[in-house]
Amino acid sequence: MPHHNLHLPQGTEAFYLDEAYVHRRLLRTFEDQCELWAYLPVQTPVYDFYELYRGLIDRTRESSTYRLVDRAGDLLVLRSDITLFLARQMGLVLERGDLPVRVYYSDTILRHEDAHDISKNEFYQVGAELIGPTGLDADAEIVLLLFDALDQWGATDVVIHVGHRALLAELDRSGRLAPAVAHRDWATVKQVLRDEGLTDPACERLAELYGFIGSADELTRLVSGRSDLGAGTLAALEHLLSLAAEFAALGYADRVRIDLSEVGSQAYHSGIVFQAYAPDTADAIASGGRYDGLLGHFGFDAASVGFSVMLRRLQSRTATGEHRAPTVHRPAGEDFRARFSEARRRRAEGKVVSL
Amino acid sequence: MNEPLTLALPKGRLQEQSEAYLAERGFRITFESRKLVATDESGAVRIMLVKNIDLPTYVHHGIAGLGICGTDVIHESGYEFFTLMRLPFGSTKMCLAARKDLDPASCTGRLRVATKFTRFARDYFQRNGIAAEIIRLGGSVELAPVLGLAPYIVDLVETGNTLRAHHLEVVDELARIEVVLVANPAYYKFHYRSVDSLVDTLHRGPA
Repeated sequence: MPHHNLHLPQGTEAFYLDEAYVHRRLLRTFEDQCELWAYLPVQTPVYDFYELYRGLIDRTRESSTYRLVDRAGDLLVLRSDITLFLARQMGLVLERGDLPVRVYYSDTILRHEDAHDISKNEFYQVGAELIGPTGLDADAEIVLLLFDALDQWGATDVVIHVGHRALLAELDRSGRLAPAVAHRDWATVKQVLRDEGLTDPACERLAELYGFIGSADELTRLVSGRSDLGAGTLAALEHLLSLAAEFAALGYADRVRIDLSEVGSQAYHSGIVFQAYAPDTADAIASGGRYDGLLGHFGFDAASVGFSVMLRRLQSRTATGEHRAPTVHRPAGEDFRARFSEARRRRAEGKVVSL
Repeated sequence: MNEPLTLALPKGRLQEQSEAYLAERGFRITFESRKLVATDESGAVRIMLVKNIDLPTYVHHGIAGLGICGTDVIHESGYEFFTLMRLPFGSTKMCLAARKDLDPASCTGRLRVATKFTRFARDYFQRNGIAAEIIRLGGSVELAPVLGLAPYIVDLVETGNTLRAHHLEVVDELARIEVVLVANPAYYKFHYRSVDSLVDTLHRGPA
């Protein structure tokens, strides 16, 4: 008989005591922060009809989702991506007059991860979405909310890399360009561009552009005088520069980098895309972007921009300071009533006291 | 002063060449006796020596942000990294080999292939639409055809001496294997200026 009592099945996890305490503190901090920004909570279902999401889940992600058949014979999919499940729910309940809508969530996600790949496990996501508004202010709001949450968690050394999916739209008919740019695989990028009919010098110059990471000034210098960029690319660059100017004016210049290799991991991304990086984590701790066509897929055509944070990745680096489990005080003495009275007095002072 | 970048080097075949290559470009490393971690004399790079096959795991988990490794080992790990540059040493070939006197007509049914590089072999045969039964071995793969485990092997071939010693020959060259400098993607993104500066220095050649 296999030793099932020694481990959990792949795709789920449990955490206890101090670790769970820290997790809940982080969660509460996030919820409080979102509510200060006038975002309201939403709860997505644990599973839904698979056919609704077919075509939105890419092949890599699809292979890690759990599917099951219900008693009526319908194929269901467990919640593996909260953004998708949220879009479907919002499509069901929202009406035009409700917009703009600001929501936040905190939920488990259920999907397979390789047993040896523990660093990539993402079983708990928190996030926020701004539904309805388009344009600079909405994009800035969602990134600034993420900064605010990171600051409240004590993650003040995190930087956010912002790119724009529309940079590729004109040249990614094959769907091969976005993953190659995201992996900074310049040989493949140039090959895809050549297949689109571009000359070798044009491929080189575009690859240089897609590889850019840096400040607004550096990007301005890189693109000034270039006549080889299409209207969509120029509009996306202009949007990023305006966004960077906004962040700089608000004091975030050192914590935002324009990164044109950030193109989003999902085909539904349509505008800005961003990821948050910390100095000591092996993967991005938060990611987000604009996906204006996603709600329309579920029957309610509204723009949307949002982010999700991999809370467990963040947890490993914030389990110190105010988020760590508190010191527990224990009144001395044999007399229970005296200890109870002492405990009540000290709890009133904000101390954590155990009898 | 900035924190040093972290770089994993593989013990074994590539260690000496990697250290010499770095030293020529100003990154001299001296490991104290039995120590596996050292910082180069300039303080720019903290080096950790790890087993070749484990190197992708250390980089994937961010223990080392950068690594020098063969593309065979990276492919086998299944992890995805940013490839920052190809290094001018240690290249070799991944080959399909068999006994010189093998009559292909005698191999009926699925192709039986013994290899250490199971992911590489599986992907290659799948890409080419060939049904193959892959048998994993830990080493001394050239023994498999000699002892009758499998008529074919997939293995690295440098000089071909090992194959010749066992009366084997290359049937097909599957891929050129190169030694590359890779980065954990999140590490690269956070430290991109320092990493790009290191890559520029390496590209410039001997100091």
